[in-house]
Amino acid sequence: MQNIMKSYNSILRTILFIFFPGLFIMASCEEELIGQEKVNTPVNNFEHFWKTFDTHYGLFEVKQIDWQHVYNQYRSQVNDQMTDEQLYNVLTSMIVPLNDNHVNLYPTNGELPVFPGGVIRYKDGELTILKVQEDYALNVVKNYVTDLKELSPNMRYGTLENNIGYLNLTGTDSKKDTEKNLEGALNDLRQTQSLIVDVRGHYGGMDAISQYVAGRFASENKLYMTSRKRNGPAHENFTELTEWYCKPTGNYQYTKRIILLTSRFTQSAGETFTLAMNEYNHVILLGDITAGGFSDNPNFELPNGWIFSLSVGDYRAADGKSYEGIGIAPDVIKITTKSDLLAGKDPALEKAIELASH
Amino acid sequence: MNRIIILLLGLAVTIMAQAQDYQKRPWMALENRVGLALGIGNVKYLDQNTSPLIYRSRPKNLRLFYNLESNTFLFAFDLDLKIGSNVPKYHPDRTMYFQEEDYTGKKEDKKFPAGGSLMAGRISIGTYYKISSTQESTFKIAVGGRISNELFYPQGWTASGLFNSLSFSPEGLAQHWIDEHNSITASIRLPVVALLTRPTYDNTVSRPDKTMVEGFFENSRWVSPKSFLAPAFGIRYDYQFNQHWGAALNYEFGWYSIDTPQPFRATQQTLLANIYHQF
Repeated sequence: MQNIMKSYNSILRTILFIFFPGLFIMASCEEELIGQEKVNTPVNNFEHFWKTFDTHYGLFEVKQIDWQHVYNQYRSQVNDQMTDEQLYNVLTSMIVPLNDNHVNLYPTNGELPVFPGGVIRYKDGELTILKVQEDYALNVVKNYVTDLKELSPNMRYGTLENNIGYLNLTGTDSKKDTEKNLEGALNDLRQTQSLIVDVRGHYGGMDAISQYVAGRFASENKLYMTSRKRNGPAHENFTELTEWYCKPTGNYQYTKRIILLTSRFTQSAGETFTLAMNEYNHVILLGDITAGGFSDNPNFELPNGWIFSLSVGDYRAADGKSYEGIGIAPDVIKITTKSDLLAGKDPALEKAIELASH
Repeated sequence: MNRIIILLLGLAVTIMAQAQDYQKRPWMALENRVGLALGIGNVKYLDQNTSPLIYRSRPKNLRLFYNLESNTFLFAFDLDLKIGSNVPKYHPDRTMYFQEEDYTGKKEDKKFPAGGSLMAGRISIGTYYKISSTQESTFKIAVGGRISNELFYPQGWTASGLFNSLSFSPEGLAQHWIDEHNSITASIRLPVVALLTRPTYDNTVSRPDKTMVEGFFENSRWVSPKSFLAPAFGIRYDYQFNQHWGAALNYEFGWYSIDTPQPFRATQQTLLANIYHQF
């Protein structure tokens, strides 16, 4: 018994003299080892917001934005006594002129709504940020494509009158799922005389997946896009130019007539897909001008916990032109309206069927 | 987790009751040791490439380990997993508020927490040479090296904190046998070279013809402690029930200081309860 007590005393001493002091030292040093957070004040939030755009935004040159002027314009409106709502109003006012639907502000206090950078369009004679898609609805499409099969939340297909195939893409899945689902759909649609690819509800995803999907319709290898991204704090700090090629992918390529249906809400990876498809003569673009948001847009944070996204890249078409904030114009403009949708009609899809039938 | 700990404690008590056949065993005899450890952790980090916020996670930890030991050499294989929620330390209850509307005019307000998670894993192999291996000595030292691959994968609204490192670290172990049942072991290691993968300055992984994983690993490069400093130390208390069973408690602390593309600092503390079998 005495030996046991002696052992445990020895253990206890070891723990007391090594273990707990070590824990205490480490726990107390943690914040010094990590670094300090910026103090959460409206001024610090404004400064961090402006500075992150300054050091990461990739489209100042393309959009001819004088960001220092934006600072000078809004800094005087910010003070440490202002409310969250007042700060929200200042920050959103700063980003509206960027005309960039990849710029979003996500307040995290549960009271202020997420602010989408928005798809801009003249509506009722005024330049407005569109927040509601009123030119496409999947349930209306189903009035035409009665055998629509859903392969994933982002991919559906079916057939229309006159042996026309219909493929609907609203985002990107994983590479493996995309390959498998697209293979099944295109095998079923192989014997159709033409194909309508509907990306009016394509809100984006991975550009490399869109690149693969476009390759299923590629007749040859084509440069369709270049990109460069910010790699340093100065406005001219960019990576080397990356070239994006669309090359034939999959077991076979569908190269019969394709009508690509686009809208103002075709954006991001949906738009880079449109850029790739636009390179081929057997593809006709129909619908509305796309959203004009191509670049990747990672999220960043503010000292108050709010989240925001911004475009870090400068993405251009193969001809070297930037369509950021502009969008890709279709070969044939045909826009479905809200009243059409409410009546269960989709004139843009009807026009696509007409073009695909010839 | 609590049930598992209670089960482990129950198993330990049972084995202690059977420890009557214990005989004084030679230290570091040739033997295999396989074990399982469960525990809790505390991870904090600040990744200035993405965020000014300190993130905190208290993950659950699981470790599987195998040791092969002779009179002169020790070989160790460890597989570690950590999983837990991950939130900004000073903003743990963030809520997003979305206003949605469709073409029919139907409006919907949606609120949901802006939470995240942390998954971290490490696989490592170490080999050590025992400097002192006499049977009589109660204080021993072993030195060697460890090759580790560690993935730190926080998921959420930002890519904050993401990195992978394949590193080589010299490592030293010191062990003190208090008596035939009880021992304390301390360890310290420092990676001297690593293949480090971090997000790029722009925080994206999108590349032509590449998946997200391939895009991430494209930004890998060899670094020295000047860019990747990650010292770690541990202290471990072992209780040897008998020749075949033992249990241990260990505390480990690690610090990470990565300078690319912008400063990232993290601390990890882990407390593990181990049980192992020797044969």
